[in-house]
Amino acid sequence: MELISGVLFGFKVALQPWNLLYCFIGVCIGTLIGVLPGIGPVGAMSILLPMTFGLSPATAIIMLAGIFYGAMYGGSTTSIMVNIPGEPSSVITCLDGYQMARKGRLGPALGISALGSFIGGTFSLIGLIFLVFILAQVALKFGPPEYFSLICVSMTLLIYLAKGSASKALIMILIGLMLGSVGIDKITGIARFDFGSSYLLDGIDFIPLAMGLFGISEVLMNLEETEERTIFQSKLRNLLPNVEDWKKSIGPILRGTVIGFFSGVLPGGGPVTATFISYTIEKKISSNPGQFGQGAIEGVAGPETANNAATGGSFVPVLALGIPPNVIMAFLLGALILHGVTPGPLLVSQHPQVFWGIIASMYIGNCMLLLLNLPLIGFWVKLLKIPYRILMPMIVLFCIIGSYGINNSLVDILMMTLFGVAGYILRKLDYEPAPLIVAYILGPMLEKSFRQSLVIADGRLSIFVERPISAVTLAISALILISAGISYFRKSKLKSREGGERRPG
Amino acid sequence: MMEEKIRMPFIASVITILILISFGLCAGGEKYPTGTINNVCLFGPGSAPDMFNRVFSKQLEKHVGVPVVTLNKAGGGGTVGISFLVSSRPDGYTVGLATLENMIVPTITEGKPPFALSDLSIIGQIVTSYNVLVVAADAPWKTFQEFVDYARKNPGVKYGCPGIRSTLYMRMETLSRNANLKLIGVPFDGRAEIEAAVLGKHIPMGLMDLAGARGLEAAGKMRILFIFESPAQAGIDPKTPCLATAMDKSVQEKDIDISQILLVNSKTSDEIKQALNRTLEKISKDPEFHAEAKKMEVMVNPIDGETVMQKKLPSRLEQVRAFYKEMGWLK
Repeated sequence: MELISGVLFGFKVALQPWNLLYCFIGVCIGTLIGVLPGIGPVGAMSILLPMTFGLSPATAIIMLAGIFYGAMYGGSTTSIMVNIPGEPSSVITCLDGYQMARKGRLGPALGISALGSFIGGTFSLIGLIFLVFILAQVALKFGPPEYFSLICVSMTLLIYLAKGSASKALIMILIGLMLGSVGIDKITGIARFDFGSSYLLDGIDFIPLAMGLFGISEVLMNLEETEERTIFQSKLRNLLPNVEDWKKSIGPILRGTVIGFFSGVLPGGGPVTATFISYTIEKKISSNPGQFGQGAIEGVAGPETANNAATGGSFVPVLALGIPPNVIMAFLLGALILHGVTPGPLLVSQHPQVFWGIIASMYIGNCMLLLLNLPLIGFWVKLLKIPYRILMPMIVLFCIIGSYGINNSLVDILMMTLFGVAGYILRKLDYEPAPLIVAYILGPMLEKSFRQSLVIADGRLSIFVERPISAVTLAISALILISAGISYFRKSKLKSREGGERRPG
Repeated sequence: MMEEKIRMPFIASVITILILISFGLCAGGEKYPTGTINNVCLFGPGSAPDMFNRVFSKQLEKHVGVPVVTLNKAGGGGTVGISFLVSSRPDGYTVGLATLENMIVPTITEGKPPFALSDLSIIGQIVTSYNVLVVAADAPWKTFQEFVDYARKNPGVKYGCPGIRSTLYMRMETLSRNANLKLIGVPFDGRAEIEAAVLGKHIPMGLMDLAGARGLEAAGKMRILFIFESPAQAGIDPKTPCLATAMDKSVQEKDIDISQILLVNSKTSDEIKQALNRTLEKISKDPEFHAEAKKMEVMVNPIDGETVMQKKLPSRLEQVRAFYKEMGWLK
């Protein structure tokens, strides 16, 4: 009963004209940045975050969340039409989506990704409602030691699932931890790494850091792109998939929903991982795996559903425990805290309008997106033609205004620029900024819960293994580390063997 | 202090410009006040000090008859806002609300103090917040006395506090030492985290403002074991032990209450200071203000500015300095 009244209350909040408007703005921006290659949802959210400060927390988060799942819809359009992923979670859609378009099946490709996204989004919201409720009930059992262990798992998964080199991810995590430790120490109150500057006494601000690493560096990366974008010239017709398509897609869509949801819940997961898992599974169980890569509709339906289902799943740990499973959620967590809302076990009772409002707005947003992405698809396709020489300076302008607006301080702009250049250099050298920003958010939480636990236990480290939830969680993170170590060892052995074989020749 | 992380929106800068323009328009030798008064808030919009600042601005506006606008100048645990107040023109059109600790701490901790205490004049104390100690509803201690006996026999009982550099922590530590309670503070980020930790029984007790505790007590989840201020005035069970009833005179005298004071630049002319002082007196007698204060769970506790400057400030400065020295926070 509590559940039903909660959902109804959520709709009451989400249907207020103001919230409805911001939800619409959010999903439109989301679709826009999803369609446009270059800037991703993280960049867009970081640019728009300061502009939400005048809004109520619920409205602000409704809009920011809209950007997140809106981008999941929009991203597929570019992948299918231009063979350039609009954002990372649509990379895999390029494989079969673009091939479908080439074979004259552009309509069904766009149609099934929008419909699959809608189904995945809807079911993951139902999952979110049930799982968050259960988790919020048991979440009170999570004290400082349990949080510490949980964050340990998040951090190890972050290394394990990082794109590319694990050692590079580890370096970025270490830098993120260092940046997070600047400012007044929460336990002893002593200032750290402030170099006598009162600016650094407050710690490094989240917004200049994020805007620089994601927004500015993204623009700099795009400055290098000289490649002409060719838009697939084919008539848009038959958007709705036929019976044959549905028969093929329904399995991938249902599996994509489950895969997406759970990879969203798990720390370190998220939409990108979800699409890869879904595609791999569909290809493995397909009776005709040769079709994949040649325009198989299953290869579009599965991943596109999974990335949307992951959005709902990602909200579970943030809303119930206040722990972000991936970088986008780390952003939303930062936004919630900036708005004076502490996510965690008491969120449901203390900020019901935020909690239920977000959930209901996500459903409404998904309906809006279905409309935006089926009947209005032609409009987004036109947007692919905005020249970068206009788009990119606008993004820089937004970043500057946004970071100045936090404290009306020029130092923030300077910091943002520094982080922008640093982010660009790091990306050029194949260092992903995502682990850095997650570590920057999680690091202070990790340290705080570790030291709180020690204060509570009068300095005994055994508190982390005496408490069952904490002990199990720590064991899991140890297992992940060991298995990552083994696979790294195997790989390097394989490499050295290959090298050894080559040498004599 | 560090928990106040909410930042000021871009719009505020536009408003500032508009206010500065209106300033220029109303400058002149007429009787104070004729133009808009800025009321500086040391924390961002939406924070507890910000809410009180807005309520007070409304009252000030009612009694002086000119617009009063809350101006958020957040950062550095209050340093930014007070520095702004000190560097603004001493014409009475920029006033600010702060606690004594907000004033004192920046002058003793940073390498080069951004301002001196003599740069500020206190018009008067306005309100004091109600601080309480809460335990889970089924906690073993039925009364405060039982808890005191237990704590003295078992040193190291933990309590959750909102940040180690918060004034609330300093208040509790001072009480704990002077009353020989031997408690240990565990810092959390704000009230919500303390509540969760007390409800989940990770820590036996929590220290917080009355505002949050009242709801949880009504829901039967927590009990208020102790209140620093008068329980009757706070509107809770009048038998709840408080500083005045449960502690010796010597402990009471060393208490660090958390009160909002009205500040101006010390170079402001005496006439303006007196005008503001008279207004403050009127506000503290206004039943409407009392009703607002009750809603915000703060106690109307007016003290004349001279008394605060001569008596409260010097002794508080000594106390805070000694405490900071001991913690290793002095530079």
